[in-house]
Amino acid sequence: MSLYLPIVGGGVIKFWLGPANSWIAGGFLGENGSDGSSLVPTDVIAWIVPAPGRVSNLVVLGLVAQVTGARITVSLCKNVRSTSPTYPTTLLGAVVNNSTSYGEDATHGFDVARGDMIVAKCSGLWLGGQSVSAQWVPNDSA
Amino acid sequence: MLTNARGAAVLAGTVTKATFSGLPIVGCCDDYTVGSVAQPFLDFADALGVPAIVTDIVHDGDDSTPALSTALKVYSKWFVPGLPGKPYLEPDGVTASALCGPILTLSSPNVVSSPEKADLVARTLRNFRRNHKLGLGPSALYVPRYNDPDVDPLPPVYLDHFIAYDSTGGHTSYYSGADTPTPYTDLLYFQILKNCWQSGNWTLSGDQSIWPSLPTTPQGSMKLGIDALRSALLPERHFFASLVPLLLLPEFRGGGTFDFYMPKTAGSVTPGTWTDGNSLGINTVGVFDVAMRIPWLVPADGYVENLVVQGNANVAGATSIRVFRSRDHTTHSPMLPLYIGTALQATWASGAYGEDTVNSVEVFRGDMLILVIASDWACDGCSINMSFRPKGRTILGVEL
Repeated sequence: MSLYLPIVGGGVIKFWLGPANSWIAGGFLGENGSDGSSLVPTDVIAWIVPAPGRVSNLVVLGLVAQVTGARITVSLCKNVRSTSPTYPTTLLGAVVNNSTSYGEDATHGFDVARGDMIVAKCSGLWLGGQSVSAQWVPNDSA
Repeated sequence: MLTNARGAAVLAGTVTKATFSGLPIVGCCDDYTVGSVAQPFLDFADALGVPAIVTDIVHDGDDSTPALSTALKVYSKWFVPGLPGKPYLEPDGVTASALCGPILTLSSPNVVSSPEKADLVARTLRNFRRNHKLGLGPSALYVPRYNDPDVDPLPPVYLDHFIAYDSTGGHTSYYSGADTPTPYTDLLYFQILKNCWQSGNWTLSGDQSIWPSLPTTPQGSMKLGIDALRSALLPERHFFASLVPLLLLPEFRGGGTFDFYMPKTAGSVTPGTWTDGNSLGINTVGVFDVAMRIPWLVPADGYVENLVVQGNANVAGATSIRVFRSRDHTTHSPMLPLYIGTALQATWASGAYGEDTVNSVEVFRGDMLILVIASDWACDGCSINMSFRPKGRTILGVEL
């Protein structure tokens, strides 16, 4: 007889950058937000996926508005486990319009495998400190 | 809808005393024409001698199936009042309930179960349990979001039982002659089910005028079934014993924690001290309405609860740490966001540990969360955590 054993759990992927640091254009942000953002992928510490699942519901907030003069996108990036990740962006990206400080993407998501490395990336310069959250939900078959 | 002959009579309202055979089982799927998904279910129902009805999304719509619930309301006249209360009426005391047996999400080799239709249908039907003399209906309930099982007890939703795996790990069916590892008719459970299923016309008391001349065979059959369940140490209160392990329970998934900490070297006025009225964010602690703290952001609608606090030094007197929430993320620059205290707060009078495991606060996507203390605490560093439980509930990984 087959048996349905639901897998419960999940987690919140969280990144943050202190107000003294700038999120540089094209910069990655990882678990070590107190170190600032970096254009060098290996400078940031990724959030590691503990079991196969899906990541969705990205929200991002800055302590001050972004003033690049155009809208910017904060995306989550995924790389298979590696010591030399490049972090290609995923479809999960929150648009933050000029002179605003909040964005969300409740539409898209991407599948993840155990060991995948997740970081955030901002397309434009954003000063003043940010907080980023997303939702990870494991698969039933995990 | 597809039916067996008994199910067709239920839908048509043509059941008679002679043909009455209990509550129907209902199978749900995306498309009942794909992969012969319905046939094993209908065969199974015929083997049990019960009405069976199959409804799907493609033919009956991406919602409940009104014709089914309407027919089952009419069919409820066949079931006598049982347990005290409102036997087979809706809470308004007037409307008949659409009584139904278990609901199954149907599958077949290479066609996986789809729970959406089962969810939609279950919400319009009612569990049989309260309406039986001995409470011998399906004991389990399906409890989706926003359902109050005390008011509207819904029939249990199960995975079907017709898929097995062959020696190569591929899908096969109990009904496939070539691949069947164990014919379902050989299963002990099946024999028990066959005896106990047709118990819907139990008439020891209540409105016996409905069936003054019913034969006693169903009663005897049910007793045999119950005795068999009891002797096998199986749950005797359950009609569909073989499917109990396959019960689908909605589940919360995707939660997590929001954690804060204040290091020994930090402090809102002096190192190691969290000062009255000051707020703690991800990054730092400080005067609540002067400096902005970086908040945690809520990624999806849900609840925060189970707040726990642990410091390195005791409080001098009673204090509390409260979760503050804001949705003011569009106007705070350069203004400060409007944070409002929530009901979630850890209060304690002595020691270095506090908690709130009672209150639960509803939060929404994008909400900002920080903490505020009610009186000075020379904590010498502290750690605070709370759990986040999203609203979204799933069965088989599909959000309801």
